[in-house]
Amino acid sequence: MTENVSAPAALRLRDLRKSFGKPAVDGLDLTIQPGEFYALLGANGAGKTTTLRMVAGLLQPDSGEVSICGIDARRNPLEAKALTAWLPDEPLLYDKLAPLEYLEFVAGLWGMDSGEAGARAEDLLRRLGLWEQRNQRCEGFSRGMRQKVALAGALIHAPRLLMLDEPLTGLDAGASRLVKDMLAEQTRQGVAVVLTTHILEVAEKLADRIGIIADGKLIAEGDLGQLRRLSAQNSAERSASLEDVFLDLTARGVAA
Amino acid sequence: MIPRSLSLARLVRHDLAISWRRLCGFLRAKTTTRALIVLGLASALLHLVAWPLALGLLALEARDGAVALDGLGFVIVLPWLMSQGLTGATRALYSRGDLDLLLSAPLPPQKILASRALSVAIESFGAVGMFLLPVANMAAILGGPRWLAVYPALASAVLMATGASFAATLGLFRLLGPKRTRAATQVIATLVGAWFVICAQIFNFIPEDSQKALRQALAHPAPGSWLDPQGALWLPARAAAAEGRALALWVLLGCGAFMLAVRALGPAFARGALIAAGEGRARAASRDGSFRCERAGALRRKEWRLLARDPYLLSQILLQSLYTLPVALIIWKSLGPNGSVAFSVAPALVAIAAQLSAALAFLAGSSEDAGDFVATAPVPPGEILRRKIEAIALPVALLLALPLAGVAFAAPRIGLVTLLCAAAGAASTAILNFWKPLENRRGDLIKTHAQNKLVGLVEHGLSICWALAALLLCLGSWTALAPIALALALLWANKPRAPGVKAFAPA
Repeated sequence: MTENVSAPAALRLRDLRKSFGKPAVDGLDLTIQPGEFYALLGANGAGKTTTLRMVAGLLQPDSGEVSICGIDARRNPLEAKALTAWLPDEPLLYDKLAPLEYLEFVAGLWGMDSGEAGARAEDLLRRLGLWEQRNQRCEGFSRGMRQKVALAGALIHAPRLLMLDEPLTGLDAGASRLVKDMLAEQTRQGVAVVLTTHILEVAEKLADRIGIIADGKLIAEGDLGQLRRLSAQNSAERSASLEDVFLDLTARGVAA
Repeated sequence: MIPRSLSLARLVRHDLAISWRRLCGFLRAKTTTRALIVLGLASALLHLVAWPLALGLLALEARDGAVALDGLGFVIVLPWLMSQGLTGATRALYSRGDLDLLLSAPLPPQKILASRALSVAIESFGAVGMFLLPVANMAAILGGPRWLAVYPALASAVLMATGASFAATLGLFRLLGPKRTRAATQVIATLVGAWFVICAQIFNFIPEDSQKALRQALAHPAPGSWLDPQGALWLPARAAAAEGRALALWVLLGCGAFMLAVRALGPAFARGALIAAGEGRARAASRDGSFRCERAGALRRKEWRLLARDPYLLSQILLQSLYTLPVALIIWKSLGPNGSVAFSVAPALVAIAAQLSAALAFLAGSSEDAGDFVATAPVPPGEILRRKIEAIALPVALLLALPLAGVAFAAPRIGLVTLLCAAAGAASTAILNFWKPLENRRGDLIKTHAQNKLVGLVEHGLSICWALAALLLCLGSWTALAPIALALALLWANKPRAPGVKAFAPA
């Protein structure tokens, strides 16, 4: 990770709030730098997906500030969306479109130049092992293939902030490794990657920083060592796995 | 040793129970009792309507004889039965719900096919009989029990049509493959179902002399010709007219054809269903073209691709254009002396444009599988709506171009008024459908095709308003402003309140 102090944060959330009857996101503060790989962990219903949906512009926050690469996403949603990609856990594809047609549509949505987008589409599909299937409709694809098509759609417009909700679900070991490599490569190019996952091993291996969210609040944040220290304040264990740390911190609801 | 599996009766009962639940869902009846009450009331109403119809039939019978009458009846009913059978056979082949389970069970494929075909036959008998049998019942009460022969004659016809439909579907399957078969049967079912409308139109547009000759031949058929009531073609008609031997032969023929079809088609059916289950991997969707993603074009092209790849939609458009064809023909026939006919056709064209665009918009809206994803794109919600409407405008314009050109040729001013009102009508019903979000996902829509009833009503209101406006404008009356104002008010009342929250448009 390269912390660039002069550039604005890739994502900055200040006192973000959203309530559906009861608070789902409750005063969340979060800052993610360009090129940083950030894993957002939390139990089911902790507010991870609600947060990502607000950043993606799919949900209107009740209050708070969302800033993407220095752009106020609530004031200038279109400018912010142009820099963002969101990959939900259930890949949103058109069954009746082929991967190449899907990418053509996505590139159109993000207003890309045809020549550049065409080359990128071919590169992405080849790397994801989908080039042979580029003209087949997605309806017959396995879950893993759909996930890869959706990932190509998220990457084609070269976002500066990439948000992924459980991106490895349904992928086999080979594809999972490929996707992890591609995400790491994105961060090297200065793209901020935020991912939610319940596979703690993924967070442990890939993430520069890990945030733990409970009841709509960020209760702990840091690299694995820092989280271990936080967790170990009350216990003697210093070599705990992320799973132990996660369970301990969420159970105690520690404020970072 | 193969364990004893379910009996045919149990399998049919299982299929019928599922069909019944689908019917209950369609009737929006929560319980069986409620569904029975609704059906009972409908049946009573149909019997009431059948009363004058039966009186008319008896009068005609006294003049032309029962056989000719039943012959005419079969000309109408048989295509209807075929259409029902084709729809049922396609559903039996493609509804993956429990077919995988049945085919993996130790059951001979003939038995599965027999149960599916029998339940399709029973459903068709119910669907057609619901409307036909009340007439037979009333005729029996008023004219004598011989009219009850319609029951076995119809049942036998249903068995025959079902057997033929399964054979046709599986034959198409072999010829065209799984994907195209579904589209083809849907189109054929639509065409066959619209058979009567087509026939009536054909009869209207053949020259006067030929019409006369045909009437003459029908009244006094030459013995041995295909119009001779004693010929083999007329067997079902004689059966329905309660001629003992003919009825026995017809029933025997129906049962025989059905059993033969089941026996012969069993293995092909099992193969077909398994292939249908694994479809989609089968073939390439398209060939490599140039990658073009200029925004407006990319957005429209995506809508067209989705529209073009929807077999259900294709048959819908086909049906709509089938109904616009006669309108175009009427204009074509009346071109010449003055524009009076064009003037009478203008409101109809406006209404058709509005309805067609509503149907297309509804289906385009329901094919939006990734609305949430589109909402994350840096595109103003208004532009996405605008591109969708543009995408729909093209097929509507293509279908209406010919009749509109006819009107414009006959009377340019009326043509212009029709064009403007049709465009306004089409745009308004399309916008309405896009504003009203669809709750259920696409797959469910195809099954139920359940459009919001209120939206349907407003849609009709809008098309009537624009048609009326076209009529008044053609008359050169300023009162045309009233229906236009009403249409705009209707549209405004249905505008989404909190933009983008529930509608497909982004937040």
